[in-house]
Amino acid sequence: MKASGAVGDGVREVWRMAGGGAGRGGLFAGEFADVAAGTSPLQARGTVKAPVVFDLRGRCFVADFAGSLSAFLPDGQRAWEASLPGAVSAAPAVTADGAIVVVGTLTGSVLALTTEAGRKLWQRELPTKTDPRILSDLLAMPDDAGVVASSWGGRFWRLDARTGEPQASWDAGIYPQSGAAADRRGNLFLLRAVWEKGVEIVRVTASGEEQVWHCEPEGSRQARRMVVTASPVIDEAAAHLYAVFNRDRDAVLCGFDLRDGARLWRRELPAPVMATPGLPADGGVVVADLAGQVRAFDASGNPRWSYDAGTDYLLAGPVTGTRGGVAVWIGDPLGRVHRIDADGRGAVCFEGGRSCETRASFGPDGRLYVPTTDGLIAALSVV
Amino acid sequence: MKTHAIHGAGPGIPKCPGGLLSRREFLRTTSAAALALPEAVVAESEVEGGSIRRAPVSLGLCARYDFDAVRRELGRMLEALGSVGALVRRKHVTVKVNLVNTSAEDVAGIPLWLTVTVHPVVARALGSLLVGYGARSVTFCDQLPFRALGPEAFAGYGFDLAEFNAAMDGRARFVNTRNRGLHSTYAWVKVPGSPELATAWEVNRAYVDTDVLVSLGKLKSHVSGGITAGMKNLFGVPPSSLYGDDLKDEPDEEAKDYRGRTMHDCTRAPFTSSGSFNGRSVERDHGFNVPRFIVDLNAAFPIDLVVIDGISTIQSAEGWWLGSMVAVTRPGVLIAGCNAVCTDAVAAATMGFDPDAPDRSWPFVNGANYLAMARRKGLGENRIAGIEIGGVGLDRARFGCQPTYRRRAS
Repeated sequence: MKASGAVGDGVREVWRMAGGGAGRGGLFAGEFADVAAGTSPLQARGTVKAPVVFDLRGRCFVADFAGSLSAFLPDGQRAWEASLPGAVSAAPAVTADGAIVVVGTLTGSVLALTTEAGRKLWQRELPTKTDPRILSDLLAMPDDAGVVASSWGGRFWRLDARTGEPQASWDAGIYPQSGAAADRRGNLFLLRAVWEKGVEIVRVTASGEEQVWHCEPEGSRQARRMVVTASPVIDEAAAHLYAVFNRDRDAVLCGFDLRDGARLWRRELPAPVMATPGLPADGGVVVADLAGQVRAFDASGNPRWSYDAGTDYLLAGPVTGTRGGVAVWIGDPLGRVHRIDADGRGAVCFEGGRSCETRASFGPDGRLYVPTTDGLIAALSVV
Repeated sequence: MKTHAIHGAGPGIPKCPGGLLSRREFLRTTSAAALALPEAVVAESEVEGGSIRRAPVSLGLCARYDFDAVRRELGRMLEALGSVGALVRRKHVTVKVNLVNTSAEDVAGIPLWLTVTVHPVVARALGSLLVGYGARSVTFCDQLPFRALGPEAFAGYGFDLAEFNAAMDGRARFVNTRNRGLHSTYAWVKVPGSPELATAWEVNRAYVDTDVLVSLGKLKSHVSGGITAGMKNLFGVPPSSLYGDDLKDEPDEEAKDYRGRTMHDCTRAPFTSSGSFNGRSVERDHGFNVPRFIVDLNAAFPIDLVVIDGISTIQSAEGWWLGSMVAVTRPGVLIAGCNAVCTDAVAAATMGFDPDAPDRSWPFVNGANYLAMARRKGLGENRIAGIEIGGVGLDRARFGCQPTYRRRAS
């Protein structure tokens, strides 16, 4: 769900979690910043590998590998900073009312802080018998029905955002790294690798019932090597859900009917995908793969275009919008941002410092916030 | 070519086990080049032998595996170290490359050299620079799981001898050290001081019949060692023919398997020509055994120069065999130094870790901190405050990597 709120003199779209809202689609439908607008980059305390998120008042929340969560005001000033028990690789999430930001660490802690002052409300350790790390982007459920995280303990947990009390738990599979998505009705969707089976796409209803929509069988390398990092993405308007299933050395992209889980189509991809796909404004889905290609498909799964980013691989997912026509923006491991138009022609529109390994976010101010691993978050007025 | 650590052991009993000069001792007593090294020796009471070695470490940034760009950046870094020219001029150089035990794998379709092994462009750029400094020959070595003992064994890792020789005036050699190779004997190398688990190593002579030993490693987290960079790279020195998992009850020159049972699980002793392990290992405790073997290897085979490829690598663990827990990442860094402990300590700090962290805490969460252990033996400084860091400096080079996987909750 993408919230709306008053920012400055207009009503703007607020990306409270990675990919904008609970559907993870990365489609910005708000008002873009004026081309002339620009600010200095935000400076985190360490490497940033998690998308930044925002609250209704335009604060930007940046979690980093130095174990710091910083809140920046719309003018770029740091409003507050909180020291966390560990480094952060998963995107935080802000509750729908904008009052609480929840963050998970590599040491397995989930913390909730007030967005206003960074005051800690609660902290909970996700149970594990082995490694505690949280790598999956956090999900703030629609209507504030909890916040969802997983750890390498192998479980998804839905916690009460106000108290941290566990509300429900589901199997998250082997080394979970993929964030859950949710639709407007409160159904959860998650991908998980299952021993001796493969990768499953699962719907968990609001009442907790699990339905496995599809299982992509494991290959010769078995399920433990099937990379599950990309979240499923939901196109509510088209009632579609898209999911990537990585195999040994390639992948499958599938479209599902959001209402009943029927598989609508299936497309082979020549390389695995780590990054969460994006939803272009003119429909369909865009994926960035580990061979350095961005590929677009229409809503029926037909290939539309592909774009060579000129890098060994792509780790960050695409975000989309309509700015001078339908466009896709994506960061690459050489620290650049590419703009790709509706027919697949693209160019580098920004060159930063070090690698960009996570998805960019649109701020309520209409700028594109691009985290880079040198600890800088570039705030771009995109064209 | 000079021969160091001349421990000629025939197929039978080594001639002088336990009483031979280490390569470092040999260098100290016979080679003026060693005196040119900028390695300071500092008195320290808690250290075995009472002193600890220190040498500067240089950091560089390089986004791509472009030969000219890598060579330029690495050249700046080696110049900053100040001693490499004197170290290698008119010398035979052996470069132990981190290539691991198969070339047929990948990480989610991404080639080995972008994830697990040293990229051939970094090796070629280093070789070109060493030749430019006047090295007479540069031999790239690792033990590789192929019958071939020459360049064919390296092809699957992207190492093409013709390309190397084109950049190195024809002075490159590739040697697969999985067995005795073309030598008539193995070298028997004593571990000086107070060994942890290995009292001696029996290895291919390529690692001792040389003037200069370079470790060319890959920057990664490591489940048992915490990190792997320059020092852990020496795990590939003991040959499969004496230490391999595919041995039955005697040495076998055809063996080519890994050293899991001898140097990780420690459920079997190696088939060296004389007893070489002291029996103090802990069966199946990789976190106990691996760090100690790292220290014993580095004590026996002092590294003259460490170069670490951290341009594109993986995080969380060291290889594809650990499944989807590993993920590609792009630090875009190169690291070089003339003391292996100092260099690995800076490598750990570059990854965002504390190189002096207590045992069984991150990043050494599954065992001992081999860097601190090495310092206590006087091999080098692991505390960042005591290391001179040049090049782009630690603040610019630092890049958050996920630490390794914790096997059991504390």
